Amino acid sequence: MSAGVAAFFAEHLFVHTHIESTGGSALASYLKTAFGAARVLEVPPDGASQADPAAMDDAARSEIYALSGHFPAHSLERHFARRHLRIALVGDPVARMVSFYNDLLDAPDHPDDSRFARLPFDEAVGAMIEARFGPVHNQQSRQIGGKEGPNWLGLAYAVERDYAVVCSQASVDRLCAMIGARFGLPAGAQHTNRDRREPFEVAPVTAARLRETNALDQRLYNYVLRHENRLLERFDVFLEAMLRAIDPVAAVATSDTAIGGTQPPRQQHRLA
Amino acid sequence: MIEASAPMNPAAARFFARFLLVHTHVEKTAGTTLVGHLTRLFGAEHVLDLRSAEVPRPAQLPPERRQRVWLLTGHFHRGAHERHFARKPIRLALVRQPVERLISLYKYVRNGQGHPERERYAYLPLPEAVRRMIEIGAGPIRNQQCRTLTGLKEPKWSDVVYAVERDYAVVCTQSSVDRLTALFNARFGVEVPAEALNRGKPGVIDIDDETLRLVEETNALDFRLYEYVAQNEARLLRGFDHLLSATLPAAGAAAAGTATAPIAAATARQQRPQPTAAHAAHGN
Repeated sequence: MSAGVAAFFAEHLFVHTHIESTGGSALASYLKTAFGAARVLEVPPDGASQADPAAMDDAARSEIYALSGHFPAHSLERHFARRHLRIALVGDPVARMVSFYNDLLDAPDHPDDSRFARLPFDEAVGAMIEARFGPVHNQQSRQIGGKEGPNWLGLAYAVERDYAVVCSQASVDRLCAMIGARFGLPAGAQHTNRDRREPFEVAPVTAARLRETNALDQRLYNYVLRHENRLLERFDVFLEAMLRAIDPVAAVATSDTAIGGTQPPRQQHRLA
Repeated sequence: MIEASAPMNPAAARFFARFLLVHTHVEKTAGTTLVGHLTRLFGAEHVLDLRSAEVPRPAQLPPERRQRVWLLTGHFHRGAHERHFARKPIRLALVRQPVERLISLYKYVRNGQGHPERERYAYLPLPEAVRRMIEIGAGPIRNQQCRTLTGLKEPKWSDVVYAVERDYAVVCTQSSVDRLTALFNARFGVEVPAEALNRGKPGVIDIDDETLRLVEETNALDFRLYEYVAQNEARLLRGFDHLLSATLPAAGAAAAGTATAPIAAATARQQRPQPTAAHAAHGN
C-alpha cells in the first residue's frame, strides 16, 4: 500500500452507511480485506458499539480509515475531525425484503428471528410493516436522509451532495474494484451474505404493498439506478484527483484502471 | 432596476424553503453577469448581494427577510454567512485564467474612480502594479481564487480539489457563464435572455515576460485550479444540472427534454476562448 493511502486517510474518512441487505456486508468485508481489519470500525446495529468512536482517543481514531454500520448519516462521524466521504448502497425494496427475510431464516440468533421468521413470507411482511421493523417504511431513505428524515428533496440532495457515492446493490463489485484500483489494492469483494437461499416469487399483492409502503425507497432506488454510472464516475474522478494531489507518483500508477478500465486517459495536471 | 421574469417554476418556493444558492463571487470572473441574470430570473427581493458595504449582513436581517433570500452572493469566502440560514447551501463559483483576470481587474480598478483598490496599486503601470500587489498582499495575487474557494489562507492542492468536487455544487470557468445561466433558465422554467454585465472596455495590454513569470510563480495554484475546472467543467455542470432536475421536478419535466439539453444548447452558442500570448482582456 502506498504512502499516499495513509496521507489520504489522514484527511478523509470513509463513512459507509450500511443499509441491511444491500450488499453492504460485501463492501465492509472488502474494505477490511483491502485496508486491514483494524482500519475499519464496524458499529453493530443495536448501537452498542464494540469500539465507541466517542470513547476512543485521538491516536486510536487516527488509525481508522472507514466507519461502517447501520447508523443514520451524520450520527457518528462527527467524532472524526476529517472530511467525511459518505458511501451507501441501496436496493430494490422487494428484493431487499426477500433477502432480509432469508437472513432471518438463516440466523437463529438474530434478535428478531422468533418474531418474524416463523411466519410465512407474506405474513412476515405484514407483521414487519405493522411493527415498523426491518426494510419497511422507507428505511433506506430514513438512513440516508439522516436527522432530517425522508423526503424527496432531502434525499436528492443527500445523493448528489452529501454522499460521495451512492450506488445500487448490484454495483458493489464495481465500487470495490474502483476503490481497489485507485488505492493500488487487490480487487474482489467477498459476498458473505449472498444467496444462501434460493430467491422466491413474491405474491403480486405483497410486492405491491411493499412498494406502496416504501414509495420513497423505490424512488431513491430508481434514481440511483438511473444515475449510478455518473455517480460512480464522479467518485472515481474525485479519488483520482485527490490521490494525485497527495501522492502524484502513486496516483499516476493506478489511474485509468478504475471502473473496468474503460475510462479515457486523463491529462495530468500541469502547472502553468 | 432589474425586474423578475414570470412565470417562475412553481416548485421554486418549495426548493428555496430547503436550499440556498450561495455564489462565491470572485472578482472579474463574470460574477456580475451571473448575479444580474439570477436577479432577473428570481426577482431582486430574492437576491442578497453583499458587495456593497451598505447592504445589511445576513446576521443583521430579521428572520422573515432572510427567508426571502434565494441567492446569497458577494466577495466572501466559502462558508461565510451560511450559518445564518437554516437551509442547505448550494454553492456556485466561477473562476478565470489568472493572467486574464489580473489584467481585467487592473483595467477595471484603474478605470473605476470609486474602487477602493485604485489608490493602492492601480495608478501604477501594470508591471509595477503587480509587484505592488505582491508586496502589500492585495488584489488578484497569491492564489486569491483558491483562497476564496477553500476559505483557507494557504490551501494545498488537495484542499482545492475537495472544494471544487465536494464543497461546491458547481464551479465553472468565466467563459461558461452562458452555459450556467442557460441551465438556470431551463430548470426554473423561465427564458431570461443572456446579458453580459460589467464588461470592461476593449483593449489589449501586453505583459512582459518577467512580470508574467512573477504572476505564474505567485499564483501557481490558481493556474492549476483554472486548468482543472476547464478540463472538468462539462462534468461539473452536468452534475449541477442533475441536482437541480432532481430537486425541481416540475421545471425538469416541463423545460428540458433531457438533463443535458440546456448545457448542450448553451455550448452550441459559445466556445471557450484560449488565452492569447498578448493576454487581451476584453470584457469583464
